[in-house]
Parts: sequence; structure tokens; C-alpha cells
Amino acid sequence: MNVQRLRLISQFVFFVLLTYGGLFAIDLGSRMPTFSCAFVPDNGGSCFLIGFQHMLSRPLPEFLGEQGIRLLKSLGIVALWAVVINKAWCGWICPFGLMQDLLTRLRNLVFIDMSRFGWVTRKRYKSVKYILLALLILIPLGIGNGVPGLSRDWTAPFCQMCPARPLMPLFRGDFSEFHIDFSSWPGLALTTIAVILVGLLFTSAFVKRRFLCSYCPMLAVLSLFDKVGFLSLNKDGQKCTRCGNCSRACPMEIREIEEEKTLSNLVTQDCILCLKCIDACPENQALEARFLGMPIYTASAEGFLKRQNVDLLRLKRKKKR
Amino acid sequence: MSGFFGGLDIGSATTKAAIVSEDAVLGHAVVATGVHCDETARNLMNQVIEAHGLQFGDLKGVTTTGYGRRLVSFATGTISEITANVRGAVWYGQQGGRQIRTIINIGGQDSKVISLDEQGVTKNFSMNDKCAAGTGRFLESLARILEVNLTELGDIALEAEVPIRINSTCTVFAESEIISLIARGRKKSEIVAGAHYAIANRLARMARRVGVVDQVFFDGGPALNRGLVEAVENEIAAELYVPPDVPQVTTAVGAALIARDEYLYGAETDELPKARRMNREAECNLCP
Amino acid sequence: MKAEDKKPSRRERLAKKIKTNLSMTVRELFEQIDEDRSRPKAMAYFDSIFKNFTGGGENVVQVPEGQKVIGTYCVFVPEELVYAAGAHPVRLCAGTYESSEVGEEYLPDVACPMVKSEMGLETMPILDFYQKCDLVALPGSCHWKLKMAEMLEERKPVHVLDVPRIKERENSRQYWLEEVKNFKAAVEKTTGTRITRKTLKGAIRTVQAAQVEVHRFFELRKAIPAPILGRDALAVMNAYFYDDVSRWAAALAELNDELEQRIAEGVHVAPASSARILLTGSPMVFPNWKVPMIIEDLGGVLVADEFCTSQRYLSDMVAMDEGTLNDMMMAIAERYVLPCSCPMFSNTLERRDKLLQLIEEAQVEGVIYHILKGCHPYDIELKMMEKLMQDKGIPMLKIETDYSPQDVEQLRTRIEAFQETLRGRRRVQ
Repeated sequence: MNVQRLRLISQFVFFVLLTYGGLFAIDLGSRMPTFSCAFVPDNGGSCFLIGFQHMLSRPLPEFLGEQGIRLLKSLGIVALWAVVINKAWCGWICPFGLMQDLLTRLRNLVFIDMSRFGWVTRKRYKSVKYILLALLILIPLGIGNGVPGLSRDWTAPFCQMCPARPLMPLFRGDFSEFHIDFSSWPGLALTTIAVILVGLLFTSAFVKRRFLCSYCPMLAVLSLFDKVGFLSLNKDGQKCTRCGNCSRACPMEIREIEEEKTLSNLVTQDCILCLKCIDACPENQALEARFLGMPIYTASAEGFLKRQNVDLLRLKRKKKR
Repeated sequence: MSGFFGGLDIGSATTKAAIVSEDAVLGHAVVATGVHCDETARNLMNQVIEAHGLQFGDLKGVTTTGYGRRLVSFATGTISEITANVRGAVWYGQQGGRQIRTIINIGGQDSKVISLDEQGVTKNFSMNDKCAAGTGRFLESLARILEVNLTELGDIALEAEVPIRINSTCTVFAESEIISLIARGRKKSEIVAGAHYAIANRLARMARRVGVVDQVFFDGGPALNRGLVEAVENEIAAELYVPPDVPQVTTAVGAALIARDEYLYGAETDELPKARRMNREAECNLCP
Repeated sequence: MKAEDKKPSRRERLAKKIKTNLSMTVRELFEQIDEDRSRPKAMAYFDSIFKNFTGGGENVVQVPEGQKVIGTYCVFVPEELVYAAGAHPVRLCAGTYESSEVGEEYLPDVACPMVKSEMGLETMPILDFYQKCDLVALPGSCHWKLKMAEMLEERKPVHVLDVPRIKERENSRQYWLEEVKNFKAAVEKTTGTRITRKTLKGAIRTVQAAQVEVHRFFELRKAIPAPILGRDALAVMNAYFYDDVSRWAAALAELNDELEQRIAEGVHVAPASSARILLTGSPMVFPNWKVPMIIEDLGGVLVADEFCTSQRYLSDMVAMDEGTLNDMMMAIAERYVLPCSCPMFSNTLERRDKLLQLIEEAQVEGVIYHILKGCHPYDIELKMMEKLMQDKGIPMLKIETDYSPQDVEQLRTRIEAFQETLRGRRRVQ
């Protein structure tokens, strides 16, 4: 079974489950580290960020009491999800990732070339997701503690600018979130950004792969659990020939996968565990994905040939002719 | 009655023969190689055998080594001179109660340094087989120019207080260098000592590449030369063990011992695909 | 006047002499090779290429009238582009001792024997296919090759590909991609055919299909006891230089099938007692099979090799991802340079890893490191490699030689002693 096809199926299943799950009384809770938007009516499970931001907009002393325990409990669930599923949230579950992957497939169908970041640029943008994560925490805290200028209009600031909010409810026929909020200036600014980002989602996919993921604060959250997650991406440096296939195939343009020869676990900051690097690796056992140390997907020369669609029968046919 | 085994080392200058029983070296002999390798070897071997009241048929095996090893019709096996040398050196080392880890060998037209591991197995070796520079051939031409006997060179060298530097070990270039030194009235002893140091220096450079570990074994015809032994000891800064009286025949003894080993413990060389063995005549690069 | 016109010039006489000598070498070589009765039957196809080498035999660069021939050197010229443009690539790296006599007119004594040999073949009418080339693609992979390009430029159309030395860097990759694009343009100009997404994809598939058989071949070679001699394996890979890719692949498939059968039936070419040797270092091209012939005549068996004329040439594949023309160009560019373990570009540790991998997989007991006098890249890294191999406990023998047959006896002594050492180690273990 082609892993990329399997991944697409998984993304579809989760997209349906998370977007329409409510209709079948499925609820995976609202503490999920993925962009299944809470604004989708009757969702089957939703993003934890909205609740998280709300919980944070309280006066600091309250965190010493019941509010603190509630917050910790909520974060505990998120951490549990993150440890068990790791970055596969991004590559295998996130509906927003699915949108981007589908658009990439569409681009491939019409043979439009993509572009890549320069190495330095790519590195520079890495910090954006952490800045967003910091703001996502600091602004709600500021609101709760009366920092001047931060009115209630800033509530859940990230959700206001998140492109999933206007986009995802559309799949349920709900157009109400696809708007620009003119009621206050923070609202105006943030919702405008959200709509622009939706536009960017559609346009960027014709230029780059997984463009928006590079800036996603959810990736920043999940990256905190990189090295402790049950899923790992392992490399045997001695088997690597540095052919560069892996980093060329990587939609997140991660260089370490090619360059690193000593480190074993290579789930790096931006890795989304899509496993395309393993697909592209022609060396036996050079790359391997493991769950709790058990190999689940290993690079092999034979597999590489299969995925490259090298027609093994072609030769035989030629011989007969 | 125990078995007897022969070893032949057909070098460019001399041919050496040795016979061993299952536990001792019985005898050996040396003769100049001449044109007909096969005949020379047979006569020499017969000579050694007869000296011990044996007959050719008593030999259970004859292993040949050296540049002419493929030219001997009655050989039952061949071995490279490196392996034969190692076998002989390890044997004589054991006789002298020493564990040999490095072997320095000067032959008629090549020189080699071999390093062994603790088990006495070849670890690495370096060989100068490109020209006769700094080999027995060089000593021969030195003796000829100075009009002395080859065997006297060592004692003459020991008379010198300070050797004269000789830059070239190339048999051809050194000749003219030495002649000009004679013309300038330099003492024979100093020239000879200088020549020995030139050879030793060259050997030492080779030895450094391989690595020198005690105990160092020194063999080959030129090892009979005490002056050269001293010069080499100086240059490699280590004590040399020269097997008493027999440095010339260690390789032949080694070959005989290998014939014995193969007879007693079974050989694997026999399994080699014979069809692919070279059967063309080996070139005998007699030089200069 | 007319009678004088017909008289061959001195150069023509010289060319004829060299050609005759070359034929003699080939004949002598095959007399030795044919002595071996254990060779696979499927080798006959590859033999036919070499036996007809000097006469321009049936499988040696046979192209229909009008098809362009593009000569290539080293392992950096993307053949996919040549095939995509409908042309026929032929690799011109040479191993003929006879032609170096002419090469010495242009190059110093210490020059690499391969370049000397090539200069002779390029400038004299000795082998037909050197004269047939409509374009010669020459990567400036070492100094000899770069200067050779200059010397050839006045004689024939030459396209130089500049390979970046430190290949991993971003700017090197971009630069190299541009070089490959330039080469594409040069091929298009020579052939008058535009390379499209479809033709390029087809060419990639064609070469990949051949590479599949190459992978199979190298896997089968690792079997114990060895089903094929290393020198035959080198010949198979060498034949690719001159043959059509698909025809060659079909012949290799046949050989692979035979080897599979041999392994199943236990037919082998060397007994289990033969020392298993890995040969690496400076390239070896027909008819310079001096070293492998000696090794295997003395009872050893080459179970793996790491040469730019063999394993390194064809084992890495183009990995297509998105299938656009640009994506394919990038994949092609990277395939030819990034995984290449030529010491001119790679770092020694990476080369060592590759060797260790081969040693482990093929259960190699010792490494013979072949250095052509004047081939500096390999010579320079030798000391480091010796140390690295020593640390891993792998015996290594350095063989420094050239194309001349003069040092055969000395080499034989060294190689024999090395094999005895390997067997001695085996006994101790």
C-alpha cells in the first residue's frame, strides 16, 4: 500500500469525522491539537486553542485556584494527544493540511512548477510560529489583567485571524464566519487577516507546498513534544549516501533529514511526519518510522523502485520482442 | 619415520634450499641463481637431501617462493615470499625465545618491511620492488667499485669514525658518487659506512610507514653484514634480532615449514581453481 | 602525384600500429579469460562487445544513420538528457595502454594514464566511435580532465560541465542545476530536438529500468560462494559505455536470471576458501584489467567494487517527485552529483561509510585500493582511508600502478601475499 495514498485516506477520514462527526454523535472532545475549527457546528472534535485562549484571559491570581487546575487539566489532554500521535496530527489528521495537500495534487495535475525558499530565508521564518504562539498566550493574559489597550475586542485573537475559522464551517454550509468584522478595529484587522490567509491558502498552494504550515503555532505546540512522542523518524547515518532525495521530497523543506548523520531521531521542529522522505529514500533501512520503537515504515531500495513506478515488466517485454 | 619437507627460495641473486623434519630444521644451502632456475634448484635440493642421507622421494612436499617460484617443476606448492618470510622469522624467533612483531628483509633486488600482530599473522607490509636501490645488488656494486670482498664490507664499515653522507641509493647514481669520493681521497671505511647508512635510512623510511614494534627481525643475505646491522639499528632506533648464521635462508626455511604445515594440518591452497592459475612463464627481471 | 597521395601519412601509420597492438592486447586478454570454464553463459553477449572493440563490432555504438552521438566522460553527464533528445551517449573514458604513447605528446609524464590514453584516442583514428561524436561532454571533475577539455576544444565540439567541489552547499546545488540546464541546451542545439517533459520522463524511465537490473546484479554478486567473477562483473558494467541502454539491460537481465539459477543450484566460480575482496580506487576501463585479472588468477574473488566505471556509475537513481520538467531537471542534477563518492567531491568519511556498507553486505575480508599514478584525488585521501580502515580492523592493500604491463610480477607478489594474509587471518579467527 502506497503510504501517501494511505495518508490521504486518513486525512479524508479525519476530515469527515471532525467536520461531520457531530451528526453521528461522535465527539472526540474540544482539546485537540489540530485545526478542526470549533466554529464548525456539530463538529466531531475541535481545536483546543479557542478554549485555551479563553481560559487564559483571567486575572493572574485566579490561576492559583480552580482555574489553574482547569487549565492544567486541559493542557494535560493536549499533551497526551501530542505525545501519542505526535506530528502525525499535521500530516495525517489536520483538515487544513488536507486542503493544502489536495491543492498541491491539483497543481501537479496541471504541471505547474513550485518554488522553494532559500535556505537562509527558510531558517529565518522558523521563528514566526513561536512568535505567534507567544502572542496567543500573552494577549489573552493581557486582557484578563487589564493591560491598557487590550479590550475584550481582542478575545481569542488567534481564532479571529485563523483562516480555518472562515473556511471550515463552509463545509457545513455555514457562511456566517466568512466575513470581515467591522465592529471594532482589532476585529477588523484580525478578521481581514483571516480572509487574506484563506485567499493565500488557495494561491500559495500553486506556488509552494504546505506554505501556511511553516507559520502555524500549532506546529510550535506540537514541536515541544518532538522527542518524547511515541512516533519517531529514525535515520541510520552510515547507510545514508546524502543523495538529497529526502529533503527534495519534503514539503516542509527540512534540511536536517539529509544533513544529519549522527542524530538518530529526526522528528525536527517543522516535521509533519508525512513520511515522504522515507518514500524517496533508496537506501535499505536508512530511514525508518517507528511507533514506540517498533518499525512501522522502513526505506528500501525495492520500495523506492515501486514508488518510482519503474515498470519492472518493461524489460521482459522488450526481451521477447 | 617422520616426514621431511623442502623449501626453496629462488631469489634474483641466490637460490636457497632448506629441509625440515616435523619438528626441526635439518639443513640448508645457498647457491647463485644462474640461468636455469629449475635445474639449479633441483641440484641444490639434492645436495641438501644427500647431506642428510635422504632421498628425493622422502620429501612429502616442496614449497617454492621468491621471484622464480613458478619456474620449479617439482614444487608441490608455491607461496609468496612475504608469507614464507613471516613463517621463517616466527620460527627462528621462537627458537631464540622472542616474539617477532616486525620483519625487515633485504633481498638481492628488493627490500621489504612486514609488521605482524600478536599471533604472528601479517598485518601490513611495505615493499620496495620498483628498483634495486638500496638492496643486496647495491652492496655488490659497492664492493666491486671499492675492490673489496662482499663479505668484508661489514668489518670495513665498523672501522669508520664518521661516515660520509651518500645521497643516492640508486645503484647507478651511487656508483658515480662513490667513484668521485674515491677520487677525492676519502677513506674506504668511511665511504662504506656512508653507503650502509644510506641503505638504512631508506629502510627506516619504509619501516616508519608500516610501524616498528619490538622485537624486530632482520634477515636476507645483507643481514650477515655487521656494519649494515648497526646502521639499521641506528636509523630505526630499535634493536635488531638477526638469526645466528642463517639470515639468508629464513625464507627458504619458512617455505619448508609451510610445506610441513600444509601436510600436517591440511592446505586450503589446493582447492583453488587451477584453471585460472597463471601458467605463463614468470618474467625474471634480472637487473641491472 | 597520385601515388604519393595514397601513401599513408606517418600519423596514419602510427594509428594503424596502435590499433594492431590494441587488437593484440584484446586477443591476449580473451585467451586468458576464455581459459576459465566456469563463466556464466550469458557473458557471451558482453564478450562480443569487447572482442569486436577495435573493429567497431555489432554492438559497439551502433547508431542508425542520422542519429547523433554524444561522447561523455566521468559520471557527471546526465545521460537521460541525451536519450531524451533522441541521441546516443557513449562514455569515452579509456583504458588502452597503446594510445597513451600519443597522449604523451600533449601531457606530462606524470599525467594520469587514463587521460593520456584518452588524448591518444581522441586525436588519432584508432577507435571509430571517438571520431563519430557530434559533441563531447566533459565534466571538469579533476584538473586533468579540465585541461583535456581545453586541448580538445580546437578539434571538436566540446561542452564542459563544471562540477562544484563542495557539492552540498545551496549555491553549489543551484550552480550545478544551471550547468545541467546549459548542457540540456547544448544537447538540444546539437540534435535540433527539444527536450520535453514527456521525452525526459521516458528517458528517465528507460535508464531506471536498466538500473533495476544493475541493483539486482550487485545483490546477486554478494552471494557466498560467488556466482560470478569480479572481472566479469566489471566487464558487464563496462559494456554499458558502448551499448544501447535497453539492449544492454535485457542482456543483463538474462545474466541475472542465470546467476539466480546458479545460486539456487550452488554453481560457483570460486570456492568458499577464496579471499573475498573489495576493489576500489581509480577507475578501471577495458582493456586495463591487469589488477582484477591478477587478483582472481591468484584465487581471490572480487565480490564488490566501488568504481566510477562500475557500481558508482549506475547505482544511484533519479528520484522523480512532482513530474514537472523543472522537478525532473533538479532530480537529475542531484542524482549525478550528491550521492557520488568520487574523492574529488565527497568527504572521506562519507566514502568510508559507503565502503563499510559494501564490506558488511558482501562479507568482504580485505580491500584493495587501486591507484593510477597521477590520479591525485584517490592518492591524496589514501592515508586517511588507510587509517579509517585500520580503525575498523579491515586489511587494506594499496596498489599503485598504471596501464603498462611492466609491473605485473611485482603486483602479483604483493597481491598474493595480501591474499595469504587474509587467509591467515581467517585461520586465526
